[in-house]
Amino acid sequence: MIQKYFKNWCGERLPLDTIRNHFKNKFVPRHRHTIWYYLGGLTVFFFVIQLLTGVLLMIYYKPTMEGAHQSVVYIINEVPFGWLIRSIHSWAANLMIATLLLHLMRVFYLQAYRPPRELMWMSGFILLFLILGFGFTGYLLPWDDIAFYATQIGTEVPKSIPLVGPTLVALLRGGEDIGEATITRMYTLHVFVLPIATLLFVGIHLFLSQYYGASKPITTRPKGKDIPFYPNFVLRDLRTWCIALILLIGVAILMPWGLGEEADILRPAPEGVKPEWYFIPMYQTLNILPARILIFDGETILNSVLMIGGFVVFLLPFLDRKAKQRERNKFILTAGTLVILYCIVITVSAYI
Amino acid sequence: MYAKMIFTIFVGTSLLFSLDTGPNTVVCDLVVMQVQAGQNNIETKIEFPSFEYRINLLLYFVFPVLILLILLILKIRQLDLHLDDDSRTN
Repeated sequence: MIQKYFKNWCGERLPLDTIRNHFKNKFVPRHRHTIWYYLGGLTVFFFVIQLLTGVLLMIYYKPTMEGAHQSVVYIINEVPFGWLIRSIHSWAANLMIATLLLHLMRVFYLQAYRPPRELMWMSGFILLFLILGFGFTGYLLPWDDIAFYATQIGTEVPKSIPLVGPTLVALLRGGEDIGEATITRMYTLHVFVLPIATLLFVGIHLFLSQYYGASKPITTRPKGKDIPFYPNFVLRDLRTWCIALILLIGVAILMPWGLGEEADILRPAPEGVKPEWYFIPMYQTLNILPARILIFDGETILNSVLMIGGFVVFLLPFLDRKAKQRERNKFILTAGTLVILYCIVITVSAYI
Repeated sequence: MYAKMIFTIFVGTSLLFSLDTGPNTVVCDLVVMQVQAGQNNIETKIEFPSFEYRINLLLYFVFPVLILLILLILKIRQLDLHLDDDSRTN
């Protein structure tokens, strides 16, 4: 009775029938790559977990040099289930980046970025940078020694960008060195600026994905009839989320996220300081690159290559000349595969 | 139907958690990390609950999600049986 009244009340005020009809008429292609369609939803799922656990951590965290590390110790030791919430937050962050990278690779290999989905690719690419930004800004917040030195290395990288480099570093650090101002800035970016920007772009990305629907790969044969989005695919998404939740809680409980020694700016850097795994390709390339190549600085060359490369990937839908003929672009696929292989090899070599 | 199902499972689990005090009595002794708190020489250490406690916690959590997962799989299988009858042709 109440349910019916509420349904009617909402139906008179909101376009519920239009939404229902949209979902009823939406279908997801069924082929041997259908499994990869779950990665986008999985990334959103981890993002929601990040928002929820992040809010809980914010209640106790103190973004100051004196308070940061001690407040994290307090969260782990004193707050009921604090260790679990922090562990889930840290593990989900890594899993979110992993699923996002896999989702990006799925779109790239199935060439789903092609027209009319250019805006989806571009909004997704911006989301990748925002999510990496979360990782970078969140890494310093526990204020332990590894985080401190990794951030020092990380914030040093933009220094060699011509014209804007030193200003960018000063803007990130809030001064010449990492200190109180850096924590405050990273915290503001991590809990306010990046979440708002990410929610905006996630909204745009989801709207576009509903508008265009799932792309059909050009060379893959269909495997039966399409799957209705609602309820069939939504339930499959829920099933994936349940499995992800079990795995996430499992690793968070059995391998709780640790905490290093409190950062001391006067102490020399400990051995084996590395950034998070998703920044390793850039960090390792910087290590193997000579300090000077001809008349140019090694770091400047790397920054320039990364900026040009990023710009090329961002504009990929417009550069793919075979999109109109609906053929596989072997050049783009080979180039992308080489870059991915390089990143995997160099990341693995950093840990061996 | 799904909302009711999810609601029942999670309310049930919450009640189970609130009633049960067993795992809380286990002493937290497994992982102890000594941490020197910077220049102030304040000794702080982080402690995670014991392995036994964490396994109990895992079971309490995983059990309802597993039930939900099984129900979802059954529902998906049921829907898939009718997939070829009423879904769109390519």
